[in-house]
Amino acid sequence: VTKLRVLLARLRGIGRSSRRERELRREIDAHLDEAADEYVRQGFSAEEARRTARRDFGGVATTEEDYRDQAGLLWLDHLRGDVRHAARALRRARGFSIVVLIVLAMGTGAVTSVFALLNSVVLRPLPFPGGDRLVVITHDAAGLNLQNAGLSGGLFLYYAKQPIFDAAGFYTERVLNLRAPEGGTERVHVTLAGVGFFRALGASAAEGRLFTEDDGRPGFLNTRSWTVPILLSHRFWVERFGADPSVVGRVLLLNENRRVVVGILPEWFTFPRADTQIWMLSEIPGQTASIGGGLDLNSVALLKQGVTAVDAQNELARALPGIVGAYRDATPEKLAELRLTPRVTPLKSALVGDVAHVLWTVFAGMAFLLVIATANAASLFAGRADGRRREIAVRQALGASRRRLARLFFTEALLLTSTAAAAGLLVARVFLWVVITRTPIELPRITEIELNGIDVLFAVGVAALMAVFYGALSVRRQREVSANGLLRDRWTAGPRASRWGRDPFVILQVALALSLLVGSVLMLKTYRTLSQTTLGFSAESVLTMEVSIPSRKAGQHIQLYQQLVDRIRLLPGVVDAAAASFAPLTASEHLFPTHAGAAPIPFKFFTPGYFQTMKSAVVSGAGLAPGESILQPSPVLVSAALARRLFPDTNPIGQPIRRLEEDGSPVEMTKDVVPPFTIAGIVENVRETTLRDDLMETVYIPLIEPAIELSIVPTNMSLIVRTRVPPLTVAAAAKDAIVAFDPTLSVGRVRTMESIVRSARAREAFVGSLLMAAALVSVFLGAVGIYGSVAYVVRQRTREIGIRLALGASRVDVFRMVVGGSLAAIAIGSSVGLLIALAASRMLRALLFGVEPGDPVSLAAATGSLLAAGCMAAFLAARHAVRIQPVRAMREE
Amino acid sequence: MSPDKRDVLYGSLGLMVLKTLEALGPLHGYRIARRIEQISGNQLALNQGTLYPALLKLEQAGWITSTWTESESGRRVKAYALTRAGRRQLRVEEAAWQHATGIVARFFAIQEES
Repeated sequence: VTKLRVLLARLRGIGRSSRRERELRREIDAHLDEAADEYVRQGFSAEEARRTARRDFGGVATTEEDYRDQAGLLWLDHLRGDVRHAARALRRARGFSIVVLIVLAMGTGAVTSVFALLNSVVLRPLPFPGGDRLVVITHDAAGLNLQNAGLSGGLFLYYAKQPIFDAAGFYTERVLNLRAPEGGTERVHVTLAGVGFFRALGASAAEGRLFTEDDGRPGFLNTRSWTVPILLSHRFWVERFGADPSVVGRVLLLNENRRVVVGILPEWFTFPRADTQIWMLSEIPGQTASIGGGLDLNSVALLKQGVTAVDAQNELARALPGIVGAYRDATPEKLAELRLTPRVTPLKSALVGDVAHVLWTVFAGMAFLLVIATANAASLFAGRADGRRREIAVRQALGASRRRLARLFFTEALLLTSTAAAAGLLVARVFLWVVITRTPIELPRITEIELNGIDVLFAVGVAALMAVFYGALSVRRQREVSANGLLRDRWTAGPRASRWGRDPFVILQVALALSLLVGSVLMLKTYRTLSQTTLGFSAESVLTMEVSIPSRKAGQHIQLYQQLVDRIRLLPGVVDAAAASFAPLTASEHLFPTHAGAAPIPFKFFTPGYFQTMKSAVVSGAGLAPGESILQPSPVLVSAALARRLFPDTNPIGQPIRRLEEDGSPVEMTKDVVPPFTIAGIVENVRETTLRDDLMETVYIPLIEPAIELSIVPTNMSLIVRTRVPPLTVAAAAKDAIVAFDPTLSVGRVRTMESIVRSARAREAFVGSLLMAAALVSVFLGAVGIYGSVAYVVRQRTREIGIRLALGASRVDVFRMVVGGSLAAIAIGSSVGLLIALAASRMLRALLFGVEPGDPVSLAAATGSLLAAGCMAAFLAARHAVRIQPVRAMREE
Repeated sequence: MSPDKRDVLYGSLGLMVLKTLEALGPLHGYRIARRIEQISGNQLALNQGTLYPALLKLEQAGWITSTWTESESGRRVKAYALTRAGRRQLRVEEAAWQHATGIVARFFAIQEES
């Protein structure tokens, strides 16, 4: 305890040196005066008394020194001195310091930036109290050929009862029209969820209350006598209602239905999506729930303490057969038909998904860059150590111990690397800001992205590691030098090892630069392939905007959308307009079980004129242009790929195609079986889902009479507007026209088709451009490194070269001698780099498209450019050697 | 200047300081130095300067406290006083010292007998 107290007292003493020194001084003066007084009393003269008192006291300076030593922490004082000293030394070597700082700041900046992103999105635990115990339950339904499908009501109720969960909730998402008394209509992201949802996620209300068990009970479906409660997100509450607490208790109109706000969620609660604005109570009625009929519920569950996701998955699989008899369609036959396999995935991996892979890939690239930068600066450090041979020798001669020198080197390195790390953190801040504001790729958890303590720790760790490395490097270098006989080596080129000593760093730089280059070339090729794929439509000068109609007007959807399209078409600047249930590449999809084959087929609604507006080619049959008369009953169009698969041998035009319910039964409408569709035309293949989608099978259903059954009527369609002016300039007029046409319609997500296409390859662009930037920087650094290493050899061996030339060596010989080592290093580095690239590009495989990881053309292109850059650097540096004048070279020094 | 040598010196010096303060109450630096010299019968050639780091160490350990007061001759001096923890420490060290010297004394006794 005493030791600790002393330590604390000493720590306190660190900051107060000047006051302490003053007090000590006064105390000593008083002591000497008292002593002198006493001697005077004993009869000494004043002068003698003073001298004797001083003699008794001993060395004042020694006392002060010991006192200081006892007061503070000596090593800390020394450290301060070292830092001051190192800073002075670095200021003297300004060129070296600046270059090292730039190189290291680039390396740490790159790696810290991506680490911060990775940390925010992938590594950091979710903000929910349940943390790692939160899971999502999905299904593979082999019988329906579905993977990662959701749950049905019956399945959810059955699973939620299993004792492995502390709580479980389901949710589905909708986009609805909100009408508040004081404002117009707007589209809002609504999540329908029950009590268990919030219990599993551990939410509590910031204002008001959450849903309770009682909310659902009294006549839940009888909305006449009871208003369905809703909750608002914190952000929506602030932005739309000015954080007015009296919103709680107010009634809002969602799709023209009365809903009462009972509470506001806390700011951190943004699930399932960052922009979810409203949660509406929904419960599954136990009596009528079924296990078939739509596996479309999402779920989130809190595992009991100690239960793993794997345990839970096994347990659900084991328990599943027990569901028989619990719900109306829960029969062994039904189970055999669906062939369900439950999947339990941690919520975090479900949320983050394959973005984790993307970010790890980029992180790996940046780590390569950091190593390259480190190796590059290592040559600079080595060069500096050599350049300081004299200085160090003098210091040693004056009595500086090896430890003292090592501390100096280490402090210098630490000063540089920590400054670089600070700059790197700044870079990371800017990078994150760009990612958040410009969102180059869609990231999950985007609201949680920030620079935090872990990132700072990471940067500090990187700086410390580099400092240790450089410190050790400088010490080793200096030992080699002193072993080699300091001041007398005036004739030879210096330490033997230093001739080739730097080459390992060159090899390392070349190898990693090459593998980065290969990776970025592969990504570039992927991006080019994706840019050049035939889309099946023309994206230029097309505006898209989502327009939804209230569900009570769903019956009039044909007229509403048709009239709307007709009005938009008349706007100035508009060439053509149509509507479809989704714009291509917007990651929306409706599935369509058909009698043709087991797999459901995606379908899409459209208004007449859609294909003409999109400029998709009608391959044969009718194109359903506006006003075109169609002979077939219930006509549909199909994509060329689908037509070829379904009717390989016959003419598809005129063939029937029948929709089925999800359970395989024929679709009925008012008790009559709906007649099958007739294929009236074939459209060219359009990439509806992703740019990599090569299936491209779609059924296109026109919104014309006779209408399809109400349950699948689209109440949210995308307007497709082709313009002769820049598309976004039409947006305002189009919005006005829509509101003027019917104020209960609402508009959302106004985008150009070009931006949609761009974001469809944004991920590849993101990875590709970051890797390319890293590759270019590292090739540049590599080239500089090679130049430096050749130039170093020339400088060290100027005298030797002079002698060789004087003795008759040809300039070609000299040239070969000077660049030989570096060319060998480049060759070794390239071969190592190719091996690394082959191994590392496997990591890229999931991101690549239209190019193989070992693509010989890409490998050759990358290797070629690297070799060219490397050799050029070597030759440029070697020119000096050839120009050496023998006589002058020997006279030097 | 290896730390253990200094600690030994400070160790016994510290003990002397504590004992002096216990016997005579609060004193300033010069008085402490003089007392120690007097008690040792001027046999201990104390470098008076070494007292101050030792006083600081005792103060850091919480065994003594210091306040600025005036000496008999009217100078501003720092007076040191024993704390309760210091008194306890003195008991402990005194016992340890007696114990140690007792052992050493026994060894001398053996030598005389043989």
